[in-house]
Amino acid sequence: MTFKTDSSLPSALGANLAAESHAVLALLEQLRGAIDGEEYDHLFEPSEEILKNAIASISFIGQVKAGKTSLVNALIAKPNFLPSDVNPWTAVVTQLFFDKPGGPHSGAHFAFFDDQQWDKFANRGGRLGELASEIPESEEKLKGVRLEVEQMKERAKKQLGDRFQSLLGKTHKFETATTDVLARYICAGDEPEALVKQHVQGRYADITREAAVFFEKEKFAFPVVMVDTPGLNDPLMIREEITLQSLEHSQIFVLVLSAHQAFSSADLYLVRILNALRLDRLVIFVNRADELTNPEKDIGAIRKHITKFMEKERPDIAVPIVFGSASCASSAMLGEASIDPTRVASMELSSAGAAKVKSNTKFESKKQQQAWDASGLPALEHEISKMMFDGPGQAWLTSARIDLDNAARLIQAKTETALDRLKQQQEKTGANKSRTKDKKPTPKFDAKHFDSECERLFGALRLVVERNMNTAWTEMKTGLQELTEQFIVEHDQEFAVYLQRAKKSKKTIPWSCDTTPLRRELNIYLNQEFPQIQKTVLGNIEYGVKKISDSMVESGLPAAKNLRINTAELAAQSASTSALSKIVPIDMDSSWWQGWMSKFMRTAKVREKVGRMIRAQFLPIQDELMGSMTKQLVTSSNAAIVSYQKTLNSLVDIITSEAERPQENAPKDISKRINELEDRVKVCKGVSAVLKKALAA
Amino acid sequence: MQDNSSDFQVKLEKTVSAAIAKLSQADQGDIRIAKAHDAALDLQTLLTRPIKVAIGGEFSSGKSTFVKMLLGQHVVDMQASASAMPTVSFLYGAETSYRAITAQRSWKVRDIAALTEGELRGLDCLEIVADVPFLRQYEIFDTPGTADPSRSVDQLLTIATHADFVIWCTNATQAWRESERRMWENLPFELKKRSLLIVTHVDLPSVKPSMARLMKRMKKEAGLLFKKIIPMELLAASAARDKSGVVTNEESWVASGGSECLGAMAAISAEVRADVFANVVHDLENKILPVIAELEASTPQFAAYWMQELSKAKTKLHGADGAVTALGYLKLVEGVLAFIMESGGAQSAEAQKMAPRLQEAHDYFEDIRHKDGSEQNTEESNAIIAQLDWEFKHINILS
Repeated sequence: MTFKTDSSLPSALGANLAAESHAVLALLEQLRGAIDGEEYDHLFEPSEEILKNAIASISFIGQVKAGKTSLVNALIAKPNFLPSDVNPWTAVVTQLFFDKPGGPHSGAHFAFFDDQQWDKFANRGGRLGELASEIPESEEKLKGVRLEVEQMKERAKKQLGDRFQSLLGKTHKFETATTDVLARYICAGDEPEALVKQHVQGRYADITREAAVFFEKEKFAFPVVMVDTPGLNDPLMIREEITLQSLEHSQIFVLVLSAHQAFSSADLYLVRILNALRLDRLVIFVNRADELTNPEKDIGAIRKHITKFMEKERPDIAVPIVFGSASCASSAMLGEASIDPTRVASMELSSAGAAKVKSNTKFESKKQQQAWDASGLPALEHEISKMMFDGPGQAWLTSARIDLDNAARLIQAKTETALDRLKQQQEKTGANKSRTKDKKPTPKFDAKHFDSECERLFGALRLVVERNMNTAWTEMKTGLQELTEQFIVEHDQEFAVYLQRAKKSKKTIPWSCDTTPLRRELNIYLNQEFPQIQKTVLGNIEYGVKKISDSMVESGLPAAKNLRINTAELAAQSASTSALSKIVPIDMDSSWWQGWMSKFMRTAKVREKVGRMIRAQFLPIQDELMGSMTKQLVTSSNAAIVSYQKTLNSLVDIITSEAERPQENAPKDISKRINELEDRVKVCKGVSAVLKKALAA
Repeated sequence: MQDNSSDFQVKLEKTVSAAIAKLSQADQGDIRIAKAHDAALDLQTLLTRPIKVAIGGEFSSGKSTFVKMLLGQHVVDMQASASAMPTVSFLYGAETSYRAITAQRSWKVRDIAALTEGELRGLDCLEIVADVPFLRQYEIFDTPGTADPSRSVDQLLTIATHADFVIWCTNATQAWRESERRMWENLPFELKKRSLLIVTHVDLPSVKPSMARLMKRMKKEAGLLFKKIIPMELLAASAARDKSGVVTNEESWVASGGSECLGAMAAISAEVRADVFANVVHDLENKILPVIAELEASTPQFAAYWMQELSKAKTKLHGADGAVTALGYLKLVEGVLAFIMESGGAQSAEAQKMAPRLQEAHDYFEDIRHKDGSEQNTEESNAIIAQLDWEFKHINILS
């Protein structure tokens, strides 16, 4: 290799997130170091677990032949690692793990379908099935997918012969993942003419459900999993289905477009699905920019074209658009001989306007470095890195900080209790009479009272949250229904005008009932309402927790004042509107309307039927939407409350066990011991102060 | 095939022209003749019209470059507002001119570059007439790119129903995707069967080395949906011909796919023409030739004899008085009656029906021959003859 990648450089992907994460872990170690071997590990577990298990998932999505696989290969600095071809070639969602928490860090796993999972693809959830009789096109599409699943099975049987049945549901594991091995599992391959000999491309692709390849940390500063997906808009519809069903498992998305045809209706469709799934962390990478005939001029036009639609679809977020060329980046890695200087020059022209971003990939040759720098990949890495930090990164960090702060407070409380006792002993022995002061008598902690208070207050808190949720639920349901009825009325008026016109002209004029506006309205409504409910719930919790902690302080538990409730997950939630995306594929377009119209010629009937159909589509998913959202909020608020209660209980345990510890004789080195514990309190306070500052920011 | 069909075309064109000549000489007052005449004129237009080709494809599929390659020159540069362009039709004409067309009206446009995007969006079609040799054979309809999220209606479906065949362009870098297949699915089978799939951008370094594999997949997935799939290097093909469409670099013309493309178009045109010929032959046999045959059957036998004898009699009787005229016409009528009787069954049934009318006229002439007032006799005789003449010519209507 004539290049080096360095995960320690500040420009490495995930470097800023890694730095912050290390800082929190360093505080944790500092705390651990200060408590000389005492058993506090369970207090550190929550924060440690969050940070040590964190892994950012980045999915590369887009139409067939946009260059997703080539881009992933270039980003992971392994040109030609994942096989690609002039034909759609990626048939399986492939996860490339780097520094996967808990390992493994080498090899590859390939999990095969079983009959049940195949059925899941073929039947895509119940709602679509219910609607199929109303929506001819969806039935057709579903039939297509079902047929393809059967064909996949048939092909796999041909490829694998007798072994087919025994392989289903199994996993193949490899110590080392070579490109040849990958080709057997994840490539589409060519149609087998007869029983084919072993080790051909695509041999197992039809039955592979999931592919995972494992690596060390390599060039990445933070654990990441890069997910390569089969392209959308493939005449094989099952591939699109596989990708769509994988979307919800990722946090960050790179929408790869081909500069040849940047942003077509198929891309818009994908953006709308991401939108409906509230998957906001999106970067657009316009690949193959070096293949443009007039890059300087074309790039401006393409950027304008994409921006126009993105602003319309997502006015709430600024989606970064990066122009680049995966093949230019790969050529840099493959060596000077593979570099085409005219294409590098073309890339330099096209990215002239882009901010220069440093890269952690360093080349020996200047020519190679130039090709890499011009490829647009450094800029893409920079954007991904930023999203990792702002998105999942912030949630992890906040959560870990709160948990660690609670740990510090608990340790502090325990230490202070121990310290008090030592000081009392010291006074008793009269070793240091000069230090006798008027000590405020701390109220005696009443465990019994605590238990009943706790039960009462937490019960009240849960009740308030539940009640508010129910009120919000009813309001939201009415709101959604109103929007739907309003759409039906508006659409009916338009439709009536159209029908009259069609009757007069006696010709079929194309008509389309686009439910996109309704979906968008519902989406906007839910996204407005959700934060409101979220805010109310957060407010309830904050108020309840304040009440609880006040009561605890009163009960003789002053340290309760400083404990925090970890609502990071609850606060990071966004409206889950994935149910809305389910109707995207069955959007009504003109072609089926025409067929449908001819069946129902009587105007009143047609209009009535349209209204019924829209209701049939939208009302049931409204319940689903609300159900999933309520569940989401209740689950995360309950989790937060439970964890807070646990922390409080830990505090009670600490204090009571310390208080109930049988009186010992004062240690000989009591002053030294007091100093030690005072130091420990200082460390705890120091850690808390640092965390408080970070949490406030 | 091409030569045979053009020979046949020449033959048909001759037949149709001859029929038109004959029918236009015959009496247009006869409704059957008039109908046959109109039908023949229709066939003449049908035989000489250019083949209509609709060009389709998703946006950025290389359609414009393909059209430019076909025409041999850039007739109009509208790249800037490509996304707003309606269907552009290219027709042949000696003078370059432009028309804007909507469903309601159409008007002449001086400078199409001056049309705003908004104006363009409101049009159904922009018609460009240009003196390009290629357009003598083909009328081109360049439809707006599909899958463009800024367009809601795809004009191709409407245009295609008027076209003889469609050429669909697909970009080799992302060739033949589901959205293309779905659009194509909507077209009628008969049309798809004689349409072409052009794979553009095959000269790109990222595609060229793997063309064989790409074509293998294309044949598998789209082979049955098209007459032929042709990979093309459009820029090379354009450069291989001069402005008037004459090939200047044969090797490059062949290598770029240009020759194959134009050849395939010609073959499809021949097929279309063969269908046209079948229609022409059908109409000739059923609507035109029987009428002409009738004309030919009746004219020389009876009507021709009548006209010939009549003109002879008229010349002879010029300036004669009433009694002489009546006698002369009496002889004429007797002669014609004798002609009908002599030829008997050989005459058409219509001619047989004329006998009573002739007998009537004969009696009338006998009558007025013995009367005085020769002036009046001459007038009356002439009127009777004129009436007979008219009736014989319109014997079809009378019967």
